[in-house]
Amino acid sequence: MDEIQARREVTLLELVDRLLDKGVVLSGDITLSVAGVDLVNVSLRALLASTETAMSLGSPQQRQIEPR
Amino acid sequence: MIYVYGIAPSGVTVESPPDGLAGSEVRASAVDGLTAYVSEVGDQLEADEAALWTHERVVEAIMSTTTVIPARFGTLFPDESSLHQAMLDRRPALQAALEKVAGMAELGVRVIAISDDASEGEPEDGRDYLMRKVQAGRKAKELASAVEGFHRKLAPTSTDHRARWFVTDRLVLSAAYLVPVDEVQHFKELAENGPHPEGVEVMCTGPWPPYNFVDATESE
Repeated sequence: MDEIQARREVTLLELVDRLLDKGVVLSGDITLSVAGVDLVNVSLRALLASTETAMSLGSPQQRQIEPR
Repeated sequence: MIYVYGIAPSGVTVESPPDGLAGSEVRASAVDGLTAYVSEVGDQLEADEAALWTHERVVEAIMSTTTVIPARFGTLFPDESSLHQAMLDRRPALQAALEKVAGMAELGVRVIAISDDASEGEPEDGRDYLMRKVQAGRKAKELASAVEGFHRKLAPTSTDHRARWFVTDRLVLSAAYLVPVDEVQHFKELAENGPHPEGVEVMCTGPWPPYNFVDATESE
């Protein structure tokens, strides 16, 4: 995985962690009630689980990565 | 449906925020000193990577003007009055969250163990297997204490943090730090330039809106 790609994917991981799991929940019964949001949650997480695996195999050459 | 991006104190105008989900127009919706940034969306949300970035860009635009409590992605209300009621119900918690994150940004830090070539391949025999196991255990302990030391160097530059340890075998630390805006550059230099513990990569992202530090559900 090249450095720009790795940088992009780590940033995406961090984005998903924040937007889907964090941030204020104003109303638990309304949030995520719309069809599609739960689905994206599942499909994005599957994609990211594989990304996380790829990232964790990072080689020493990737040490200088600085996302964003 | 009303989609919510974030909540800010009233009295400051966010000039020309970017478009919201599905090209919708983002506007302010205020009640009793709190302003939600919202847009009208249909009830079928296109929820993919682009949508996540759209949400993020709107929150960042608010953050560049004033303090913001980012909303969880997918926060929808059937109409404005139910949104206002939800804001009023949580008013003390929202006010407390706004005070906590005023003038702050969030930085993300991931510490990832680099794969160890020496421990790859099949063990030669039972003795070799046991030796490797003992060594791996010792290495994991050394790594954990080195990364804890690294975290302790970063933490004083923040006012709060959320840390998850050993999320996976390799992801030793995944943490968010709440950092004063004028310390962000200093924090990034500390995180990126190290010195880093041996055998890990460190990745620092941000500044982000303070998603990890606005949990208004705690005091409900």
